Amino acid sequence: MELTAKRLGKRYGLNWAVEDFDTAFTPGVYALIGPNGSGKTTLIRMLVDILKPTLGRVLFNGKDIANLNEQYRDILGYLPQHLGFYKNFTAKQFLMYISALKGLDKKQALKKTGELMEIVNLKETGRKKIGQFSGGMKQRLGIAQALLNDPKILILDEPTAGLDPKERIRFRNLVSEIAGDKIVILSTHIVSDAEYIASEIIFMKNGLLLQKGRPSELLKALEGKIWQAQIREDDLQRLKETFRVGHIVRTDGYLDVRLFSEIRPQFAASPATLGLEDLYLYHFDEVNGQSETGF
Amino acid sequence: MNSGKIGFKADTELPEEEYLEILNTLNEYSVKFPPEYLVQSTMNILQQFVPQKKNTLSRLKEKSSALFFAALRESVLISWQYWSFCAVLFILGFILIVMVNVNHFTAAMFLSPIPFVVGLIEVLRGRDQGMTELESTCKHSFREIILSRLLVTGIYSILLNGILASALSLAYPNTIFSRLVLMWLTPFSAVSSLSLWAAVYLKGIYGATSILSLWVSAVLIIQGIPELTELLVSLSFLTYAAIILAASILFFFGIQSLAAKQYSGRERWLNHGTNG
Repeated sequence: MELTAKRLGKRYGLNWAVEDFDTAFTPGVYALIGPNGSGKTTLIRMLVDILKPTLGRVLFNGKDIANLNEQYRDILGYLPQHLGFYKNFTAKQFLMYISALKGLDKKQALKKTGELMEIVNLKETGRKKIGQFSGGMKQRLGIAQALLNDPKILILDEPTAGLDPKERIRFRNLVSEIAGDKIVILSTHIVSDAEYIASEIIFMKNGLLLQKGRPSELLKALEGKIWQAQIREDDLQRLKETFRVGHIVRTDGYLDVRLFSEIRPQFAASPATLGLEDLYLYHFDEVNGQSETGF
Repeated sequence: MNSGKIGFKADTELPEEEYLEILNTLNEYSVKFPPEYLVQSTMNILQQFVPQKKNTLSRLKEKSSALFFAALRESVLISWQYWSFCAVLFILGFILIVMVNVNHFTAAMFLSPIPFVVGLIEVLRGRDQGMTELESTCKHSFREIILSRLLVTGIYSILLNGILASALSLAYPNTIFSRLVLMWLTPFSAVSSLSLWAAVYLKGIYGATSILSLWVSAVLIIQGIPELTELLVSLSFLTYAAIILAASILFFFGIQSLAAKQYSGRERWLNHGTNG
């Protein structure tokens, strides 16, 4: 099973939201990472066939998804970034309705609805209308509907937005459990979510595919470029003038800083233990010489 | 490595000599072409697995039945307020016509498009509540969903108008039933088509209320000019038929635009200002 984006591009007016995006997805969990406006949602909408590409095609097992229509939608589970709901429905009614749209018969629908309400912890909502749900509850319901048809391709746009830490852990575990032989593509800018569950990471910037690979491979390329040091507060400004500074943590009157440098700094700095967040900052922290993330 | 003689590119890099050696070894084997009767029998066996082309009638039957079941599914989405509002409106309308003794032709005309126009709010509820993006990715297409909802509200509107026309023809025995039907069918089709087009560009509730306001204003103006009322009631059959036909064509294209398979129809509803 393979989902391929072939030189995919989408232009709005003169601006390319996604440009020349070329990659293949085989079973596994892929995390699309990029800052706001990097083109993740536009790419996802083309992958789920609700947005026509300006250039390129999306192929599923070699066939253009624009021609597969129902056949493609039948194996697709999708959670949009901004999902609306029929607010006068209960969670169960909503899931039963989406089941019908997905072509499940009543028996299957009841079974899947019960199972998924249990999994996303909405079993107790009973007759409560969706209009009265919290943001986190709605997001969990959104995740549940995407899984109703046991999709082979699961595409989730910002699935952990609005979830509390406990719910996020449940979500990560759920994705890891169900991934199996599915293609799971999720977009996020919460790097830790990607770190835990993604088998491959795709970095996007300004609509372009910046880097794709297994987390370990991507981090390997960063070895010897991230350093950690303990400095006095007075030295921070001077350090910022010389290096790109990542995390800063205050400890016992000192500052623990992580900084980017191609060569070992001249002061007492040691190589840092690398994480995806370092990679994210490495790619995205600078905008016109200013720090985008506030560092 | 690419060889013009061999005509294909090897996936792995082999030394030229080793490659030619393998090629020579393979060339020693000859593959016989199968005899004609074997080719034919294979074709005969495979023939039974070739899907039968369906004729137009069975395709139509299949599509109609799918639409019917989709309409049943979608009818649960339509609120009880809609069903009851329209029913009460028509019952009260009938009672008022009989009690106040207004012109039952113009009264039927006035009431006829209201259920369909109000129904558009129900038809487009998914779009107005941000469900389009999700519904567009489900097995049953977005077009099918919109069509089935239109079918539900359309049938309900026709049913209500039909019942009202029958009741009026019973209450007024001198009424020519076919004329009464034409009298409600004409504004019903014309106003419904216009409201469908309004719904393409406006939020369901705004489209419906705008058209209803225009319709009520038009009826009040018409009622205020007795000559105009007389003229409208006494138009020829052909004129009514022409209006109904034109409205039906407009309605058809309205549906095409509203439930466009073309992405442009849907992209309007996607929120381009997303974060990703």
